[in-house]
Amino acid sequence: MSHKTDQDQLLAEVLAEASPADFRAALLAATLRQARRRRQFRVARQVVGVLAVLGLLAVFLGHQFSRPPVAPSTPAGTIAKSARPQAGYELVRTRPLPAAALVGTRKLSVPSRGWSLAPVTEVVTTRGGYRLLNDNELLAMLVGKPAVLIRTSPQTEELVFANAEDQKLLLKN
Amino acid sequence: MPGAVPIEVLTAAMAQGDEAAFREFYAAYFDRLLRYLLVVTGGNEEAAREALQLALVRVVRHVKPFVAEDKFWSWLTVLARSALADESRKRRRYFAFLERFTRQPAPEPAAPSPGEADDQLHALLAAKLSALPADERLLLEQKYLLHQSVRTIADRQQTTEKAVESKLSRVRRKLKDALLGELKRTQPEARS
Repeated sequence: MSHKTDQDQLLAEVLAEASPADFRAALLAATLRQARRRRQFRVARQVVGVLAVLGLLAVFLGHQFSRPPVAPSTPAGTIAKSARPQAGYELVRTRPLPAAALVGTRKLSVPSRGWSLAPVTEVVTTRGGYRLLNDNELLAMLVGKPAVLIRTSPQTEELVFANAEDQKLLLKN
Repeated sequence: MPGAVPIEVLTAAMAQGDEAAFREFYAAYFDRLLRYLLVVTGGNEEAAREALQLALVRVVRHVKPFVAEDKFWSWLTVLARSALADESRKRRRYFAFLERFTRQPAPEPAAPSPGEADDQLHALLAAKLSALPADERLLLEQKYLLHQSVRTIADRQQTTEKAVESKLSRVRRKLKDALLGELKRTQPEARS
């Protein structure tokens, strides 16, 4: 046994004797499985990284292109923002409106003032200025106007005129 | 004991998770690592196998490109020893109450250097081979030194191949028991 490789071979077979038959194969399979999983994880991590960078880029570009274009000259009197806001502050420029665009007010002269007088009639009502008529007093008011007083219940009566015109005249007065 | 692939290529491919590289690594280092662990554990086969399993998991997890084979082998032995220590610690939890009674914690084994373990095992093998009966030693030499086929050996001994295979298996088993027994005797303080 001069060759070490021969000894190695013998040693390997001697030590493998009466060992679990599939120990080496099972361990290799487990190792390969683990290596595969780690490789897949690494690839997935790279893909996620690339996607994240692309996403950030897309958000940045979207933000850049969705900004409204700045008008070359802003209308007088409006607040003009600087085209490119700097980090930390925003430059704002103002200028006064032209006189034609201003609206003013002035005091009216005395002759041009007017007043209105409304004819107002005051009506005053007083409490208790009436009394209840009995049947005879009522019928006395109807002289020349044929009518009958019909008792419809112990508490209610109805006055019926022969001529409807007489009723209208009585109510008007 | 590097394989056919240069170590920097092999380890770089392993770091990339290349399965072929791991097969190559197994072919080159599995037996060597097991032998190393057998020496470190003082012939405790079960502990050596468990530590090897854990060490290989750590190889997959932490492997990086190495430019020199001896550095790679040193790294592997460190992983193997730390795996063995972790396994032993795990095992000791079950027997902690015994340690509390005896108050004699197991001493740390003297870890052999990466090259020492192999040399120690080869020396032991040579010693145990020479202690074998002549016919058994001859059989092993025919098979492993002269690389004769089982059929040739059987023809020379005028017996069957099955009988030769059976005898070879018996002698290998005997040699293994002798080797592991010697390791246990020479390193009684080793972890169990």
